[in-house]
Amino acid sequence: MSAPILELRDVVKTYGDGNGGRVAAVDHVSVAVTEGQGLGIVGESGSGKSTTVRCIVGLEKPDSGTITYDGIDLASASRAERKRFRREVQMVFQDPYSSLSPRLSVEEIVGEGLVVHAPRMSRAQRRDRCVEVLETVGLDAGALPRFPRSFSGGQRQRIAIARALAPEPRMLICDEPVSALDVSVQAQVITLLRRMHRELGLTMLFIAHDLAVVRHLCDSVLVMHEGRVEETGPVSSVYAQPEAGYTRALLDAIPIPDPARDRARRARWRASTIAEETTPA
Amino acid sequence: MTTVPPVLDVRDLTVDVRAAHGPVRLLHGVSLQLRRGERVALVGESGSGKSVFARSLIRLDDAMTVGGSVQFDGADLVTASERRLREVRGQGIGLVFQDPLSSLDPVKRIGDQVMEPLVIRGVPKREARERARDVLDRLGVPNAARRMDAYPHEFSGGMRQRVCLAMAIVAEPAVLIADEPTTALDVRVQEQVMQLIEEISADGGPAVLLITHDLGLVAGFAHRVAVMYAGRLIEVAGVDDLYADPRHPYTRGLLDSVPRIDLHEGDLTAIPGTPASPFHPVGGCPFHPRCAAALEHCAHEEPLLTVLPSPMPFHDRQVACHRAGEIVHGRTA
Amino acid sequence: MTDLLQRPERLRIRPRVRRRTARRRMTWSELATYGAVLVLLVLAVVGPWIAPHDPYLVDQRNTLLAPSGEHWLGTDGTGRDLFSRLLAGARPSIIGAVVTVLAAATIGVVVAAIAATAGRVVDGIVMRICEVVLSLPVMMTGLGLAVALGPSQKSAVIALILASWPSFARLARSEIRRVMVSPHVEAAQVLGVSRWRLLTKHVLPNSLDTVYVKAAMDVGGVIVIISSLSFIGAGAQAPSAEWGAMVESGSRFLNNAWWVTGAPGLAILVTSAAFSLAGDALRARLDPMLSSSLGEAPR
Repeated sequence: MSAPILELRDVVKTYGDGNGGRVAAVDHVSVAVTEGQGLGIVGESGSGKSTTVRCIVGLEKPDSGTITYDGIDLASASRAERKRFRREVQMVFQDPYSSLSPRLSVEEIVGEGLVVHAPRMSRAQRRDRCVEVLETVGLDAGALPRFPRSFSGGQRQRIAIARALAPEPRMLICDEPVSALDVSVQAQVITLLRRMHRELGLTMLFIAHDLAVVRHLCDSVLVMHEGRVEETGPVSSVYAQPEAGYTRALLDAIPIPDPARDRARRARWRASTIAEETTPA
Repeated sequence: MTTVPPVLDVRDLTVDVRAAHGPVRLLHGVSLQLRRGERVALVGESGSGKSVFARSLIRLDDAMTVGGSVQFDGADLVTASERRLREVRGQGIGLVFQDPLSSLDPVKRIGDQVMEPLVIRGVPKREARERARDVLDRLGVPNAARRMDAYPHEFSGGMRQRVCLAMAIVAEPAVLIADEPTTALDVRVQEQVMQLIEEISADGGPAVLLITHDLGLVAGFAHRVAVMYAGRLIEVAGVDDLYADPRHPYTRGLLDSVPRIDLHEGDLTAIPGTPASPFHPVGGCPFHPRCAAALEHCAHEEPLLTVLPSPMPFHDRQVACHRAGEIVHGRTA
Repeated sequence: MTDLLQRPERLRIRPRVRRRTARRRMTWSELATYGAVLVLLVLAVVGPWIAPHDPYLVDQRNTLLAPSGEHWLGTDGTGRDLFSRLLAGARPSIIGAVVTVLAAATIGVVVAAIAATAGRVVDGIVMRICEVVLSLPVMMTGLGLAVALGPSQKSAVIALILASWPSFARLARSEIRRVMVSPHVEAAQVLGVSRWRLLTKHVLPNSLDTVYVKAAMDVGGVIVIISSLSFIGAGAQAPSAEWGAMVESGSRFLNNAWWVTGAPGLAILVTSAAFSLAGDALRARLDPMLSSSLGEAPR
């Protein structure tokens, strides 16, 4: 196995709880991601999955622990190193409505990464590159002068993916990119991300609250619960034989689009909750 | 089954709203019956009109012009007086919405909110409180008696949705309409809420109409599924038939879009294009621009919802597709 | 609630601003208020040139004349044509207020941008200063400063700028901080956009809507305050045709020639109302709760 491209070691991030105490949103999380890997990070709200990726991309500062990207220690990176990290690691956000500035045209949105990371590019070159990535995500040059509001949610998420792809990143971090979309549109975006992962060889971190989505996109999965890593491993084995009871519970809660199997699953679920007598809520 | 009169009988429901360029039709003659004890799922993308359907049944929006008929409890809700409607809203038809937080009043105690449908109907306070407590208890709100004095913000998302459910069923309605009740919730909480709704509807409870965009959610829950597209029902069938052999290409597409946890192989297949918008209607079959099976004919003539005969009794299904008879999708589970 | 239909997604987090892309047609009342403001601004510029009489020409034979064909609004205590004086006074009154508000808003936004981005200490200091200034009534601060600077139109304007920028700073700061944590700004941060570019291209354009509205609405109030300062002698001095000063000098004749005070008073009222209404119309246009999510959305 090659050296990891991204490594988190003992990352801790706490917040004040409003009563003078601290609550750990991320509690000693260690993860290693190898180049080209597709890792799904799964957990419910409050599990710390989003905070973890926000620490990685620098939107939050971890209290302790180290995050290393391709030999760069992010806490002590030089300006040049930081710049390289910013170019090579891109992100797609959850909500396609608020993650695109309503005041910027698609050309400005998608070209922003190029303005920052390829300042010597001429306007025409930049436009060509924008068209190229827009076409990759299934849109065309006609989108360039338009504003986000004239696009549907699925199309907006494509624009957000195009923005992330424009500076030719090595790693793409997706924070629940489909959870705000209709199921029918979800499938389009998942299929697109899967193609990007395979064709461009992108390393992918994919945050989800749902194990089913991850199965279609990732080769390995990490389950988080209350700030800790509950379980991690290849998708095939974690889904077939989850070690943690929590993972099992998450798997059991996912509906199956097959009436007979889903009825059986629901009966199983009822039996197990009665057995446990403890209901999470 | 057809001999039992339905509790809710919607016939040819149309809904129009005013827009800048004239009226826009959101529902194009939707007919759907709900029988006692039945759980029906209404499935469609955003913009399909599924929420409009629920809201127009009890005329929640003044801006809508509603046509057709909605027979409920001996009256036609389309023409009923506002007073009659108010009665129906709390007592006859219970409603639960997607966002539990915004459907609760943040400055009123949970208990008072759950009691309200009873109190405004003249049930004595003491009795109303007892019934509210019983319902909360039944819905698994721990320490219901004590927590009735709490405020919505002190509850988690799942608990809030239980409170909303309690409000909807406390007056023992004949019909419960739940509009995307689990969308904002985590998977385990979603499962709990779905199980609760099933429990509520069992043994003499209300008929349930569950509205969702996710065909995956309702396979083990619903008895019947109605699929809506562009303000029309395009397929209505018993749940087993629908999943085993979807006849409308759109239903098939929705089914193939659901991420599955139980299958090892097979990529997701997305429906191409964007969901239909009532503001940009297309001629012919509304789905034809996105349909792989579309013929030239489909762009000109709109297919009507017609009954497909089935060899088994009571298994007739309705499909609105010119090619429903010839296309056999043959889905393997 | 009918807009439920058109959002193809379920998380309805509505972008709060869509000015650059909004294409809703203007209503007649909007056109009327913007038009009134435009007319007033034009008058403020060209007023002195189109005045039928010399606004400063004293004519002791024709004092306190009632409105007539020759003197449309009559004459004042020294026989000057009131209509001409109103036109001449539009400039110090309206332009003075506009300059005051523009300067205060600019200072406020710059200070807010610094406070919101420079870190906690600077932010704390700046906001405390704002709170102190804001705790004093604008009229009192204005009066004190204007007197200290020596009573004149210029002092009144400077005094009001100093007294009113903090309210803009506070508003702009809260908007900037709100926009700073919005996902599209975070997205730009993750792209590696520099601080300056982040502020000017991503944050400010999305945070200034409320500032524009406040500015437009404030002009009306500032006109009144500047006039009031003149009225009590702390602003423009006689023989200036500034409206507040005119009200003051005419007040002596209130019993026998009410129009000498009434005309400039009415001018202040109308102008103030026009700017306030225009601000209100602007707010209605920018406010996402009032403007529909799509151009063609039903309402």
